[in-house]
Amino acid sequence: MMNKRAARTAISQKTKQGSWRRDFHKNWKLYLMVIPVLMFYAMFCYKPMYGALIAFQNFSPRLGFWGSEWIGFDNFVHFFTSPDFPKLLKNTLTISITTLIFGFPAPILLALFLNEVKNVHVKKFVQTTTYLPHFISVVVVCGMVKIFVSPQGIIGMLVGALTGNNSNLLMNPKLFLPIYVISEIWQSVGWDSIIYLAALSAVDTEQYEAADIDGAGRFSKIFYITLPSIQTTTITLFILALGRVMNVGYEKIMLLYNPAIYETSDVISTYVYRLGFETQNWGFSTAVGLFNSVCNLALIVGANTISKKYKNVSLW
Amino acid sequence: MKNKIKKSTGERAFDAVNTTLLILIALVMIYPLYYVLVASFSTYNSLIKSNGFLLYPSEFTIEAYKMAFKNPMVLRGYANTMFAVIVGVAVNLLLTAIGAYFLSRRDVKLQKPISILIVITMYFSGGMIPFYFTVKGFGLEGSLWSLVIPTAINTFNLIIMKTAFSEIPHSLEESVEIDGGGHFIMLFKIIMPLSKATFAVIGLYYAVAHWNAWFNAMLFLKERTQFPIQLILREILIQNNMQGMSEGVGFAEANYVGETIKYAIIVISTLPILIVYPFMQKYFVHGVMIGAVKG
Amino acid sequence: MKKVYKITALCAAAILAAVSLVGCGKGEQASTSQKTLDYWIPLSGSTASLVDNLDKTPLYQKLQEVTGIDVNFIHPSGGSLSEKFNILMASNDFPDMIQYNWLTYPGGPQNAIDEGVIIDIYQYKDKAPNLIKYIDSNKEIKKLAETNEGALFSFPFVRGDDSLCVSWGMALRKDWLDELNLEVPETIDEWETVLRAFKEKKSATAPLTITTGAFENSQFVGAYNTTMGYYIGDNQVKYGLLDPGFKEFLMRMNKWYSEGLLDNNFALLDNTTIDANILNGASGAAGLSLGNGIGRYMSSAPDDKFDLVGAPSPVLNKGDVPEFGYLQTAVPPMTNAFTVICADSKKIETAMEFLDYGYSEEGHMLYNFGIEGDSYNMVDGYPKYTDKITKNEEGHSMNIMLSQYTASYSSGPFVQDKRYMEQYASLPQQISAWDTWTKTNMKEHVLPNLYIAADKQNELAILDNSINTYANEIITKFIVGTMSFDEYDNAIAELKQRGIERSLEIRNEAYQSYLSK
Repeated sequence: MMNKRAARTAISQKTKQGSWRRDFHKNWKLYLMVIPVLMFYAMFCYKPMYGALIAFQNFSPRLGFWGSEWIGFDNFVHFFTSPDFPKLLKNTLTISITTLIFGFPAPILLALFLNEVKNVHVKKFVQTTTYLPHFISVVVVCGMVKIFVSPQGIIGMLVGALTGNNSNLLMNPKLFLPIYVISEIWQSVGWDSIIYLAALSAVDTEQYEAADIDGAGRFSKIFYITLPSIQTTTITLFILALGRVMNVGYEKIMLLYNPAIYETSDVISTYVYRLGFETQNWGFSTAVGLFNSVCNLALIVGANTISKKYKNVSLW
Repeated sequence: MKNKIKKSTGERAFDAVNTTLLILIALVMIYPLYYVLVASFSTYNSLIKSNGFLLYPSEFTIEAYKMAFKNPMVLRGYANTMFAVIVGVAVNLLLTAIGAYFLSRRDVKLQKPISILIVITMYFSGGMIPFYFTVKGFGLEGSLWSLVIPTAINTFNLIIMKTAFSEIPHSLEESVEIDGGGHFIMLFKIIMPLSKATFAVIGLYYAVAHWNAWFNAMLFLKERTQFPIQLILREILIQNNMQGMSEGVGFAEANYVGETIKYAIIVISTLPILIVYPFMQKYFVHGVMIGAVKG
Repeated sequence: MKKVYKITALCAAAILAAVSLVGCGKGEQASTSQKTLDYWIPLSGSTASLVDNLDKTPLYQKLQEVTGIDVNFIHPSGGSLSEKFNILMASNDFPDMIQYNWLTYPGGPQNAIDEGVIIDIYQYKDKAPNLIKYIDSNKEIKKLAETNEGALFSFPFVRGDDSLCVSWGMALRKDWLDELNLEVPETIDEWETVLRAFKEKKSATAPLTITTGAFENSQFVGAYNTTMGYYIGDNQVKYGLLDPGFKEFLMRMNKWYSEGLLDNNFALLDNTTIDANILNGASGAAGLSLGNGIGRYMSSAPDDKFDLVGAPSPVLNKGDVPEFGYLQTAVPPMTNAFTVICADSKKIETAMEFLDYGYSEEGHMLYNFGIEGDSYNMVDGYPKYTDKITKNEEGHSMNIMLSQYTASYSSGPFVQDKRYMEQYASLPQQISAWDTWTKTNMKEHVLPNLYIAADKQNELAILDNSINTYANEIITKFIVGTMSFDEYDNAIAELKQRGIERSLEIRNEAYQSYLSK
């Protein structure tokens, strides 16, 4: 791949880029062709960014963007001083970081184990069953969770029999995090392991053979050959995951949470939704959303800079 | 050749433990789905008494399915979802391919700035509320197109496709240019056939996303008859709204079937995916592979 | 190459098919005449169990026939009602008429008028003669329905008799009480005994099934001389959680919860589950409404023994008259209570005519009793529901039949008639429960419809959101025990930090201007 890339750079340098006019003359068909794509980005990505200015307004849909009152940073000040702010920030980070801690290594482990299996049928069976949950919709997964943890559900009944406390597990603030993380891992571990399996299959078998001759055990081969070989993939995926830290799966939380456990389950994006669509505080909720976006951007840029510096892996 | 070398006891123990462990994990992962299937064929009363673990239906019955199919919204929801999936994926693939084709051109001056503008949207957005007002502003509210157009391109998929296009040898493209063919001929006659697998995988990604989507539908659709299946499922499974479920049935009986309807509904709504699943499986590895090779 | 074309052709065909499918659906809707009024109105669960649009109910067919006005009904669905209402408001594309609890509009109804969302009915006085006549002759109703600025923002739903303001209360399984030789409980301690007996002897898994929302109707908490949310005491607006009695109430509920007397699912209960609990014998007591609760359960009782009895609002000491209980104002702040006309409407006068009909003689009979000769007959000057309604041949409950022929079973733009309830609640169980539930002093405490001053509305909206969310959260947590009572003072302190005192201040101002109306 390196060779190809080098060749390509050479080509692009050769075709010396001329003036704008020459470029347009040559490529106008191409520009014409890409207009729908640019329109999409202008309409549904950049227009909302501009629309986010209502974060500085006391926005009323009736009065519109131009008619609503501008109130400066009031919405932000209000948010940062509200007692909800620390709670939301804490929940957002707790939920996503816990998911990251348990959910990130899980597919790597699964891939490592799978890679060691020599029996084709076993491998196929395990792959088929673990990939499957990825294709079940979020609504159905949450529906299953809700039924299972209710006092009449399979998990609810089991827990009730073990602890004698037969209450709905989704009413206990302490249990939301495990329920969320476990269902998240259940749904994604198999699918996410594919990428590592693919990376593993690319590892040079000669290295293993050499290690065999040296008398290396299975574990030492995993540590010294297998793991380092998927380092780049792992880091790339980790940066991407970090970039999503502030974007917890709000659709899933919205489907699972309830007022009794807001303390541990309410995150920034669900709060934005409730404030906007349930109480019509449009300007305020936009401000909260904007804060979230900015944090996100800062996180990914930060993570990328660090990885670029120490591991020379970058997203762009 | 290596197989000929006798494995040590440690090696064999490792294999045994590893295999057992994996099979155990697989069983644990598949059990919730199996339980749903089994429970959907059980009676509600026996289910409550069963104390959890089930291997086969307790008191076999298909009552839950009879009731589930009485709900006209399930079929209607399917039809709407099919629209979103078929039309949505077609629009997705067309626009993504065009975008990827443009970004994979090297001798275009605006390529760089445009690609930066596009990548920025991956990491920064205006947020939920402005997005809502924007879509509403374009008059898409209340139309099934609101499930298609605002999600016409997923930037992540666009980048993947661009990477795949960039791998295509330049010489092939030059031959088209020499023949005087336009960009569409290049894209559809040269590039598309060469990256069939990429199209299949990106198409699969988009299809799964459309199949799963409910949030936009909830925000933008007004008429119940337009709702995709996921929104109907949300009413039944999450909001426990059995209204219409019990149509034509005394509500007392409806309660006796109770939760088992939900299990039946889950089975009905998940079955199509499970049927297509084996056919899609062969593309999985290729799919994530192209995702892994970052541009 | 051929393959590519094949695939492309296939895709194109599929798109065409799908588009035409959707297109057809749209065409049907667009074909309705342009003279019609668009009416955004929530569809009740009872109505929805038979039809998917009010246009298919005899009541609304008749209404359109007699007024000669066509109506196109738009029913919100697929999310909570408040979400759908807010989305409608954000869309800025309004129908002609909207039926909703307009008191919850951000900034209140006066703000909706000021922003040009809805009209002030008084500006078209002569187009609503029946409503104006009714309002002018009922000063109390006028006070409740007008904003502080003196605008009439809606065609309100009005309880035509004091007794109609009570339609909800606690009920228990009479057959269980009899079997266990227990009296209908009056005090909190008696309730505890009864619930424990239900649990131990009738193996009820959730002896008392009640939602957190139901506590707002002053049951149990009322015994501690306070209630949930805002109420009137000593001539001013107060907030229940700030009262000393509230902590005692929570401690008692916590005890019940940990003993398994209170439904361990109570924060997540929905109607479907409550129905199942009661009919399957998992619960022996619940907060029920007169018709949709007691009436409906009695008519679908699983066996002959099943019997219910209404219980008075619980008190602490035997013999006390309950200070608090369930009571609505004569213009109740309910979901379907206020029908407004949007300022953008091109057919304001037609809409006025359509809605005003409900306050006329004939309209009154139609909304309350349906169609003469079909759903009711006049017997000695008394509108008596026919067997079609009360003993339906197809086995539909009275509740469901009423929902097709009348609007009195829920609400709408008319004055509710007592004679409806007399027949709807005609079972001995219902009559006695109705009587029991009425005996409280709640009249002194019920909060009237408050209209907040324009400059305070935005502030209050943000305060309310923060306070309500937090209050609901801590109430549940204290009851469930995930928050210990050691933290009670901290919780109250946080409530104050969230501005409960400011909220009371604003509400008291509004209350004073209500009194001086």
